[in-house]
Amino acid sequence: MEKEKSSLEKLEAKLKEMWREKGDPHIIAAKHTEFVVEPRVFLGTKLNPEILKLLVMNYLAQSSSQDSGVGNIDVTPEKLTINSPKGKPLVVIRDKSIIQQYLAQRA
Amino acid sequence: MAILSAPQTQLNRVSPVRENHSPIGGLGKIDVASQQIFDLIKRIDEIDKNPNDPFRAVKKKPLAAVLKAADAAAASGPAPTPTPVKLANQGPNLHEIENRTPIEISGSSLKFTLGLVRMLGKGIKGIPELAGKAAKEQTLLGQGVA
Repeated sequence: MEKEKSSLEKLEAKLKEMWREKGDPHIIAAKHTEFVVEPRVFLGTKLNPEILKLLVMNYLAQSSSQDSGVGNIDVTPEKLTINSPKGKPLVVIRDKSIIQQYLAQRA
Repeated sequence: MAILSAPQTQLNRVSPVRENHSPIGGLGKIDVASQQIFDLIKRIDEIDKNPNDPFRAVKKKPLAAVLKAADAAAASGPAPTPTPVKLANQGPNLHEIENRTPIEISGSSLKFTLGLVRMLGKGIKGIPELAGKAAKEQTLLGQGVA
């Protein structure tokens, strides 16, 4: 009998599913089959930066329609900060393309 | 190809393939990533040699389509410079991986990471719930309850 997966394993599977839909999956085409090289979701206790980037972009895309997003994001042309509901900085983004995309979305 | 480099990636099969754990003689101790690559090459070779292999029936894309796409890509521009394969012990370390994406986070514990996934994953079906459950499980594990 197959052992039931823990929530962490289910979460990993779900995040991989998200990456396959929204990320940039690499496919190796062999003669009669294809293989997908998937990211390892957790590197130690941290998120793979590729997955983190997708989650951040998802959060920013939804922030304009989310009440919780209002006031939780500080943005300047150089830096975008996502704060916790209590105002503590959680994520600092210096990727110019993400910042510009967010500013364009807000305009 | 760099896409095979570890530790940030892992090779997963799209379609079912029979497991093959044949030992590879004469190579001494090899790491898991190398073993996966050897197993993969060996398995592809088996499929190629056996026209009755059941795996052929479930292939996702015909070879002709793959080759046609490759030809089209080759015709559209100069061939890319091949990148050498990096194996597990030669791959980038965690510090290098973190520096690739200019996104900094203010915590490093698993509990913090799961909380972050829960918050950032809002709107994606199942992710906030699973992150919350996983965080609770980790807390229970930490307390020695589970």
